[in-house]
Amino acid sequence: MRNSEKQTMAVIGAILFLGLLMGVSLLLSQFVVAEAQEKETSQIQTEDSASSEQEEEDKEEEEDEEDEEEEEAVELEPGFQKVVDEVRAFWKRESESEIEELVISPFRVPPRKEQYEYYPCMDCHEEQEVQPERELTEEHEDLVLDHGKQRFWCLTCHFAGKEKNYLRSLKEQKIDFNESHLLCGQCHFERQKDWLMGAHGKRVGSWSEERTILLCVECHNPHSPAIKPQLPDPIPKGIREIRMERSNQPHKIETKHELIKVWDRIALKYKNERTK
Amino acid sequence: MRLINFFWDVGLSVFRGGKLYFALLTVFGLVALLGFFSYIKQYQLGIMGHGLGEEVSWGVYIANFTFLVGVAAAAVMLVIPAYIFNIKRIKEVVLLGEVMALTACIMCVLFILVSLGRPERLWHILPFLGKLNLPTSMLAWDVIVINSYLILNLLIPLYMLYIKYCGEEPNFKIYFPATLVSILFAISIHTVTAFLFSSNVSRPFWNTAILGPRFLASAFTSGPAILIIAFQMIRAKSTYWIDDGVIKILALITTVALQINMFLLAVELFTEFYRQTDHGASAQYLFFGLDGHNQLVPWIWTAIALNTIALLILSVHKLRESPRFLNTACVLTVFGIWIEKGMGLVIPGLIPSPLGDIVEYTPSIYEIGVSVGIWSIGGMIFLVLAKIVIGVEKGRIKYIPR
Amino acid sequence: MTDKKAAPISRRNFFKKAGTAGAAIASGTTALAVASDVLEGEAYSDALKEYFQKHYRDMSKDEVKAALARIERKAKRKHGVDITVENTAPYAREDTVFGYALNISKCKGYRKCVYACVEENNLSRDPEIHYIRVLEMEKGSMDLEKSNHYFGEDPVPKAGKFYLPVQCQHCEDPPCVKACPTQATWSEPDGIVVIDYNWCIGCHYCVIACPYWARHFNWEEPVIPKEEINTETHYLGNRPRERGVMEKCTFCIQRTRKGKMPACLEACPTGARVFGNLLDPKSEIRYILENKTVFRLKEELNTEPKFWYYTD
Repeated sequence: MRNSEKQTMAVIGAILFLGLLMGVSLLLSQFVVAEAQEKETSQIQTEDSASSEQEEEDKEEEEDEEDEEEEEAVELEPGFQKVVDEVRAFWKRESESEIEELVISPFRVPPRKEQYEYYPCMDCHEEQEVQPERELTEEHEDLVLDHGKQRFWCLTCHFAGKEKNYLRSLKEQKIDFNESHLLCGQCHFERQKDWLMGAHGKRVGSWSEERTILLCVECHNPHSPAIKPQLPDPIPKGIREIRMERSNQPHKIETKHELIKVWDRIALKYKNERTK
Repeated sequence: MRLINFFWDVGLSVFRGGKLYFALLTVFGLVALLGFFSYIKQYQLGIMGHGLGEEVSWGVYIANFTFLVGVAAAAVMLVIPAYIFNIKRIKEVVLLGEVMALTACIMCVLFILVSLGRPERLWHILPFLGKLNLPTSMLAWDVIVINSYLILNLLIPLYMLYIKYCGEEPNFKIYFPATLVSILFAISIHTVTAFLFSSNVSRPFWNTAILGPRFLASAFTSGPAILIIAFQMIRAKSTYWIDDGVIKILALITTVALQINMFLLAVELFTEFYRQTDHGASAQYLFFGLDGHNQLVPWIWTAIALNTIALLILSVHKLRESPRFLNTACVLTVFGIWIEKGMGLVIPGLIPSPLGDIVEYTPSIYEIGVSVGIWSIGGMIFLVLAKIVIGVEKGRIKYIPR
Repeated sequence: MTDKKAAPISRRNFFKKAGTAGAAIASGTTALAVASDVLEGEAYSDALKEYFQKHYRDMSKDEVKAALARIERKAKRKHGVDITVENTAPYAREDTVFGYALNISKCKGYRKCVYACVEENNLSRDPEIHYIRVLEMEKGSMDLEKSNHYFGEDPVPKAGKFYLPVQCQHCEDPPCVKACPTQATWSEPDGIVVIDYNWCIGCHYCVIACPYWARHFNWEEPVIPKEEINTETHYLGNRPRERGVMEKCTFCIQRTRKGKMPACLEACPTGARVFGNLLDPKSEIRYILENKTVFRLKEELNTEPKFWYYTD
């Protein structure tokens, strides 16, 4: 039984390996890829083929597999590559070596694509053309673009052509929606490093097990990323307020008077001295 | 058998007395009852029954406790001349002083008890059964020293009274070491209580080395002053004569201690106000008010005024020697110290809170009721004990072989 | 009878009397304590055992088990809720010490953490007890005395202000632990400062000692709506408390010892909070401590808080 299982696995593995090679050669014919990058992809491929379970999954979702290959092809800026290496070095753990949902990240993010109402975009955009004007009038008109001080528009981050299921880097590379931080990190690279390392953003689930962090867009609306002021939760009731409330006295929670700012105070002092 | 006789006779003497004695006992008893009901009511009402809260969680109870520790410690000012230097006229009243210390100790324990959230769990601090947090907790040390001092002040007078009752001479080998230990404990209850406050880095107002000396100085001011008042009353209302010399010595002690106390206060204030750091916020609140909160300001200035007047009276020899002025000065300084060291020390230490919130504290009527109740219990205990002491000293209670 | 012979006997008598008097007082208080519980419907044996329950760290495994069961029964009777009380041991005992980091450039003062904590930890709703206090600070100053605790009439963040949430800092050398006269509070092996609510006598001394205003007292029987009670509890954590005892933040001991995040972190909408194992060099908190600008509140008091504040 075991032997036969192994044999079948080997056969499937070989087929998959061949398939992957074909995919890569196709890609190679499409893009000009640096040699170093090529080496890396082949390394990852061999790693992939090593674990048979993953391969079976891969087989089931052939489309996804293709996506992955394309993602691998995202050429990273040399500066960012350094950050990625750093992140990997910091976060890579032996126990987590199998968890590779994202290509570059040794951590998991809750998948984003499933959350989108309109995803995959190509379902509609197969037929519908992209409106050439900057003003959105027919669809998506609820979107308010308040990002980048009017220097951006839709096609800064989205493709106009057939690649609409992906985000578009400034170099026109395809970026998966589940890896949107690569897009944000083009400008917000320092924030991105913080996020990758754990000083920004939010880890969910467990502090001890596999690291799962929320993508930028979970908290920031990418079209209007600034978080708006809102009313806080109720003011804590001090002992005074509780007493007044219980004795049915009218009361107002005491708020301190406006304080004079440090710089104003100092400025005032100098101003007074000078007018003397 | 003599011991049983002693207790029997002493017990009987408590129930024999003049009209004033019973009238006082009744008044004290009624007020104590009022205090008891206040405590019950306070328990039922919870937050509404307390003036305390999350920010100010120590109030009048601890303030009175602090003051009374001082009174308890002050007995040592009679004990030292009486037992160590063998001054006869002081020896005649030293038992009264020790009884005062005992009363003050009992009141201290009561004030701590009523401020506990779970008084029924008190067995948690008993030796062997509980877990006293030694040596790090200052409160644990305070429990030890105050209770030891209480027991010493119970046993030493008991022994001396018993010996007098039997008409014998006290055994030097028994009372002298016990007295020495009690002197040590008298100093230590006050120092430990000062450490109880000054060990808190979170409360800059208390976190100062001068607090210990200040505590001792104020203790030796208020304690003898209370003794003078008590002695004057005893002189006026009973047939027991207390020598003028005793009062003079006590008055001198009060004077010197008050002078030192005022000096230390001035030193403290200099440090607080020279550079008004965050550490000065509590002092600022106490003396001048902070951000429009100034509830304690009149109190502390009253205390300072009282102490200053008392200081002036006491420092002038002629005035100090006149009984009327002396008594006034003693009453003034007792109130002055009671405010300065009680409310004026405990409460501003907690304002502003460690996070800079200013919540003021006004004692609830129940807290005041309980405090007054405990003071009357103290009064009752002192009255009864003083009666016993006087009875034995005067030879009214003595052993008659049957 | 000669006096010399009589004396020791009578002394013995005296001690006997004193002993019986002491015993009478002790049994009296016990009876009172137990009776008040029994009057409230507690089983007599439960009330008695609860009164004489040993310190948490002195109890044997069976005694702890019995204590946990008693608490469950009491909760059922008092609140009508089936709760589970656990005493999960420190997580990975040897190599876990918890630490917390909070990004004050990110905190916007929404107070989500405050109320998430209230719900998770079964805090009293009336009177209110909060483990977390968010301070609205003046920009240009770190003076806590100029902070506003009671902001919230206008939307936050307000211009010219920044926000500083303060909770138990789980000091390495906690003044509260030093102060407690009964050893009712202590540091666990994973660095969490906890209280045995059954051992605390309610003397308030820890409140006085704490420089962070982190310890809170139950002035009254805490009131929690029945349906809002969190039934997953820990003996040292969020089990229902009673009046007259202290309580405090435990880094959500009931969650974190199972590998979960504290409730305040989960609730934080800005991701300002980071929790983790200080001993793990590959943890987020260690990255922050080693690479970010951090500070600790009142560090000059030398209490070694395990709670850091950092900025972007």
